Parts: sequence; C-alpha cells; structure tokens
Amino acid sequence: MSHETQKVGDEYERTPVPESALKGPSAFWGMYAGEHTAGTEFMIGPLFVAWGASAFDLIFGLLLGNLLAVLSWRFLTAEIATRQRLTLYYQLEKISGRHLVSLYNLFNGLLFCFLAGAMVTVSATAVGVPFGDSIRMPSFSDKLPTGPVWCITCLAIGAAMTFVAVRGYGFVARVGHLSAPWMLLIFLACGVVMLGKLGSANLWELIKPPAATSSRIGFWGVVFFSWFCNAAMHIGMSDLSIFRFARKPRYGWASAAGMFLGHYVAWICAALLLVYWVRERGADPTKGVAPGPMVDDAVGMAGLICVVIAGWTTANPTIYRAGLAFQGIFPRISRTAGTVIAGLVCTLAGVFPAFAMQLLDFVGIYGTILSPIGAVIVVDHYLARRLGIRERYAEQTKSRFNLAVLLAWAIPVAAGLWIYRAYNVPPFFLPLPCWIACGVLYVLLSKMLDRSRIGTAAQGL
Amino acid sequence: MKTISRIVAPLALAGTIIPAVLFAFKLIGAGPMKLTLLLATVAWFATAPFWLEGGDR
Repeated sequence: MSHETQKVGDEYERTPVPESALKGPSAFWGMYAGEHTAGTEFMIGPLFVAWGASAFDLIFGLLLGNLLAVLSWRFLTAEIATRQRLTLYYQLEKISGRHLVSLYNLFNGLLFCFLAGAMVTVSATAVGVPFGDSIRMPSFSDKLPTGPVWCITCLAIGAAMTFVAVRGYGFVARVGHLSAPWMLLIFLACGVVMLGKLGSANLWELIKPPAATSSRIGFWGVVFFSWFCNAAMHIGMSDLSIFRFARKPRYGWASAAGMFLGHYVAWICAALLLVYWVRERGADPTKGVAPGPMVDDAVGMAGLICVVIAGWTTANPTIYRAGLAFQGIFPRISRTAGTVIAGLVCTLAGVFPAFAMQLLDFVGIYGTILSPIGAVIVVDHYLARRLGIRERYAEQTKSRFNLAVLLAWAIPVAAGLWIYRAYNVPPFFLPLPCWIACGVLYVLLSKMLDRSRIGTAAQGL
Repeated sequence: MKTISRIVAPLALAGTIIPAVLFAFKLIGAGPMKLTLLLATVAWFATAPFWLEGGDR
C-alpha cells in the first residue's frame, strides 16, 4: 500500500484507524453477508456433490467448519485488529520489513487474479446460455478453453470487469450491497425449486454418493474446507484491514452472516442443482454441469442475472485489490496500470476453466500459501514478549527484510505444496499445519537469528 | 418514491421466493414461476436503492 493511496483514499493505510472513523456492527454484518454470497458458491455446492459428499457430511460438516471459521475471525482476527487498528500490510511491514511485504503482495495479487478469474469463468457459463449449442460449456474435468466462442465470452466479461475496476469499484460495491438479500433468496429459490422437481425434501435420501463410486471428500474434508476456504482472511489476517474499523472485537461474530448464509444455505441449495441433474437428467456427477445452464433450468433469467451479478460484484473488488497489491510492489506505476495488469491476468485465468472447475483444490492452495503469514502476526502480538523475541522486529531494527519471517513462511508452504503434489493430500487440510509450523518456526528462527546478529554486533564493538 | 419503495421492495423480495415455493407445491408452472422471479428482480433493483439505508452510498 503506497503513501499515495493513503492520501487519495484516506483509508488509514499507514496509521491506526482513529476513534472517529470506527463503524458500528451493522456495517460488518451486511458486508460479510454480501461478500460471501458470490458466484463461485454456485460451483462449490455442486463440486461437493461431484466429490461424493453425503447429506450428513454437508449438513453437519458445514455447520462445524463454518463455526470454526467464525471463531477464528472472532478470537484471532477481530481481537488483533481492534487492538492494533492497522492493515495486514502495514503490520506485516513492521515485523518483516518492506521488501518481504512486496513478496507477499506478489503472491497475494496473483492468487487474487486467479480467484477473480474463476468468477469470470462462472459468469461466462451464465452469459453463454443464450448462445445455445454454439458455445461448449466446460465440465468439472475441463482445464483448457472449450472453444473460440467460450474464449470470446470470457475475454468480453473480463474486459468489462477490468474497465469497471479501473473506474473505481464504487458502483459495483453499491450493486453488491443492494444485491445481497436478493441473491440469497435466488439461491434459496434454486434449492426450493430443485426439491419440488425432485419430489422430496429428504436431504438424507437425495444427497448421497453415487453407487459404486468412492467418495473424495468426507465429513472432515467438508469441515476443513469450510473452515479454511477463507483461511487467508481469518487465520491469515487479511481481514485485519476490515476489522480495524470495528469498535469492539465482538463484531467478529458478523462473519457468521457470510458463513451461515453464503457458505451454508447457498452451498446446500447450489448442491441440490447438481443432485437434480444427476438424478433426473442423467448427468455424470464426476463431469458435472456448468452453473449457468443449471440455474437457467431452475429459475430462469433471474438466476442467470444472479450468477453474473454474484460473480461481477465479487470479482471487481478482487481485481481492484490485486491492482493495489501490484501497485504496492511497484509504487511508481499508477493504480490504473496496476488494475489493468490485474485485469489482464484475471481475464486470461478466466478463459481457462481449471481454476473454477477445480475450485476446491485452488481455494485450499490459496489458503496454504497465504495464511501462514498470519501466524507471524499472532506470535508477534500475543507471544513475542513472553517468549523473549523482539516485537515488530523490522520497525525496531530499521530492517527491510526479516529473514526469520521469510524462512518461517517459505519452509512450511514449500513442504505443504510438496505433500499435496507427492501424496495427493487435499490442499484444504494443509493451511492449519502450515500455519502452526510457521508460527513455531518464526519463534525459533527469531531467537536463533536475532542472537547471532546481537553476537555479531557485540563482536564488532 | 421512498414511500413506494418501502412497499414495493419488500414485495419484490417476497416475489423472489414465494413463486419458487408455489412451484415446489405444484401450485404454479415453471413458466409463470420464472417470469415472476424476473419481474421481482427488476422491481427489486428499481426500488431497493431508495429503500435500503446506505444503499445509495
């Protein structure tokens, strides 16, 4: 985050949020309800079905996982945010130094682009419905573009989203705010219509793994996925930037609005869409069906509008944030240039269905890479003094690069990604061990490296 | 406009879910259900900015 941004946006990016700028609880409840009812929810529910989750896994797994996510926001993120009142970036800069924040920004910006790309893909499945057979919709197994019409559709959507993000996302944020209650009801309507078409409201009977197939996700998989699909935001501390405006840490409970509406009701309703297509239309659950045609079949044009708006309102701020992250790395480029770069990467990513169609894996990898850095902030905030390590190391030593943070972050992430590749471990199981390992390593390395630095300095005297 | 919105916007929200329930109980067909949802969507976006506090910010 640049100094320029602070002056222009007056978002207190390099100062604690003052008392006069604090917000009441309703701002947080509304924001979380809106932000976590996105176009990608139309993918995640059906993907659970494709992976063979049962009704028990979904109903109770999501209940527990979302509860754990809310507790993480409430007792980690909101607590630290309301005491420090700083953004993640500035707080990290005080601990790790400016250069390491740039590296974090690079990963953050790229992963934001891929996430926004997944939303472009989902939106394209809705925009493509009127084109009929001239566009081949991607299935869950597709990784590459499905044809020229598909590419043109994605490029057009990506260009439109980038254009709006460049203009500033005020208008889109306003549409997102207005859409939130309507979007949730469209998700609910999809679920109710599907129950009507299936002729049963018995979820236990309706949602079960197809016969003779092995389930790729069980109860604990659903728990860990729903807990860590936003790992970068809660245990990764990205939402310090949001909760620094909260008057009290108990506003952290507002995350429940996003979790239990967007990540519970909406996911289960979206899951029912694929259940219907598998049972009544003979769709192959492993290949799935693109969200656009399923939603069109369920609730018609209103559903297609919902898919586009849900994707658009979440992708735009994501492109905007990615642009700011790139601008943080190259402070000389303008915000517009940063946003255009982010938009280009996002649009290209959107053309490839791999990110959206393998969203469960992608979201897990996203959390595995970004969330461990949050452990450094937790250690610095709660444990540094007790364990005898320097608080806000970079600020105190005027260092631009804290090697202890880099190693503590890179080693567990590299190990986690290797385990994912070598042993095919679902990546949503990895953020927690990586986060814990990062915290432990940071303590050990800080003690070790700081002692050797003090020793070197003493010898030099 | 604000008074009209206070009446129409909640009705539009109701119009987004009630037709789906009626369809599930086989009281209306798919066509009327989808059409009502679309009209409710248009009505919601036309009136919600005036109804929702802070919606125009």
